[in-house]
Amino acid sequence: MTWFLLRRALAFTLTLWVVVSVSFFLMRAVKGGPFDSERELPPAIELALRAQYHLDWPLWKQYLQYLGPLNLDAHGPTWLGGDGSNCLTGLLAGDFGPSLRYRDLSVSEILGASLPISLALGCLALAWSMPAGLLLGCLSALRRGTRTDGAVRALATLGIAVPNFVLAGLLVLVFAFAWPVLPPAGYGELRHLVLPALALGAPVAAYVARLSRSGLLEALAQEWVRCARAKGLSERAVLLRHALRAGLMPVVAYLGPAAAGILTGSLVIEKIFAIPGTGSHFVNGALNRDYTLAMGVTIVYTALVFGLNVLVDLAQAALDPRIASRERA
Amino acid sequence: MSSPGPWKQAAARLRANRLAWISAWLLALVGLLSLCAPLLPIRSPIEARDVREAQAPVSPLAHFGGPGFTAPELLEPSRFDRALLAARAALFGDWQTGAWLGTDARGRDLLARLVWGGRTSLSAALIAALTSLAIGLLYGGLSGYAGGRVDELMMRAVDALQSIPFLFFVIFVGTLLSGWRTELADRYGLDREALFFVVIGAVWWLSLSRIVRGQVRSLREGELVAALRVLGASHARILLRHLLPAVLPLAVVYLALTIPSVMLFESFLSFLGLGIEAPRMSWGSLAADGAEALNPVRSAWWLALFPALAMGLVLLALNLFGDALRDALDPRGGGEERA
Repeated sequence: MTWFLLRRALAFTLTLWVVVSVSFFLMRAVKGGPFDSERELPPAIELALRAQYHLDWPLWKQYLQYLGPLNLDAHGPTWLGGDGSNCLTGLLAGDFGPSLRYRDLSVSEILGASLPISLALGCLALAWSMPAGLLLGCLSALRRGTRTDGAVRALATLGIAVPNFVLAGLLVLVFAFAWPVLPPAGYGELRHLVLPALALGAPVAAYVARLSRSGLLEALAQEWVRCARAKGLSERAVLLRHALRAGLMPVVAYLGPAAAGILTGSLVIEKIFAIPGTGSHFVNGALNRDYTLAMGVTIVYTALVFGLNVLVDLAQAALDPRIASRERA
Repeated sequence: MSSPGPWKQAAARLRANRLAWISAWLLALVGLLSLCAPLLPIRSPIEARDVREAQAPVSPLAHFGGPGFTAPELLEPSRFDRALLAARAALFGDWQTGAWLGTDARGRDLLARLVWGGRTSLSAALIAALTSLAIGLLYGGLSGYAGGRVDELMMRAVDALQSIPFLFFVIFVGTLLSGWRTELADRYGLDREALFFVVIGAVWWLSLSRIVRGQVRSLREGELVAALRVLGASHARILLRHLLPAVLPLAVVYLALTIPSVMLFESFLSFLGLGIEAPRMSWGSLAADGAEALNPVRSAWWLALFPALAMGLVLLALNLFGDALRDALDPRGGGEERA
């Protein structure tokens, strides 16, 4: 297991390094980008960029400075010739640089303020959509071929096919205007997160319903289920202890993509409901060519999704003895 | 041939599924309508009129149509489009439909915008899906056929790439490239849309390459490849002429299920203002305009309803058809299902 985790960590570091490097050099190569000497930036940002990357340095040195964690300029560690007042800087020290748009803030500060909001919204969406999807999927599998089954399948296909901004618009029309029980937009209380979480979680619930239905059906057709029944176990025990455990494997595997989907969906949902989360900052950053902010969000989200994927792998190994033994081998 | 081939069997199974059959016809109809958009006697999608607010739909019974059509010039018609426009002029003259689905706040006809927007959405999805199909087939095929250490390395790369939330990366790269946009357009004829969809296609091949690799690997161990080697076939020939065609049914299913997700992604981007740009339009950008027009005071509901309906219907049909296709081509019955 340790070996497995190590290998994943290595792969992840490599991936992130490639992403970061490609982004950095693309950013430097783009005409009219923040590092372009012909582009006019507000003086404060020009200064901040100079302090951060030393635009007069050779490119490789700027790149090292950007990666961190050691500060290469006059304030770096004494053994590198600095005065030791500010040894750490760059990405590896958690510094994503100044935001090109919000003059007074660094990217790290923006992330620190907005990430908890986005994560709360994402968790809320997952918290309702996973159980709901599972319940519907199991119901549909157990009542295979009935009207309930048909209704659930239709609902699930609809949930996958309808874009979430359309769903969000409908929800606002119904629950904020036609029957005003919830606020149409804004942020502050839990009430504000109900409609966004509903719209955000709907596709996930739909996918989970489909996955758990097909997973459970396949599990129920296996020989060991027949065996469990033959040895006289109650239908409840067969279902809960044997079939469900195997049938849920695809759902567990889907958790990683689901988290990525929720993060992506939050771009749109946060914009519609005017929630000051990371997603809306990312979109504004992309629209305003705030390269450092867009890049910071990309990197943080990559790390987040990767972490979740590792957790999913561990959960799968815990659920399926075959995987655990394969990893050990 | 005594027994019908796998494609024929699949077609028979597909025809037995009524919902899938209806979906297929609907998709064919939508595809044909989008392809022939210039031929249809609809209004110009970009011609603005002097109106104070969005105009509500007019029933065809109240106003069926009238003269006044002008060819849309901003959309850079290809030679094919110009031929269709000429055919339209010969068939219908300058007769055009009434505003059956209403107009937007600038007086542009929603029906025409829907038809032309469908053209963008469908072709974009097709470009991206085909790009990803080509890359996925080749990459997965090579990896599975090579086996051993090469295979291991290639699949680890896919693992690593899959943990990147690519939509963020695509938006980020698109933002960066937007600085280069005019240069790319002048020198290589790549506009922002084409660029975007090639980029999307280039990142969407990961799960396909995995599936293809698994299939090719199991085929490679079989007697077919050994026999072909004995007959003196080269590796390239075995892979391209024998193994990849055998994987094609799977790839077709994948294609049918990829197109809707790419369409959804396109609508996402357009909604955020990062995809299709005015004066062009897609179903995503139309739905985004419509979502903005939804407000309790004076709601232009048709602007939100019809694009959402069009996209929802086509996505639903694609999903249903894709599911049925998978069931039809996979005799073991719908087993694994991954996002």
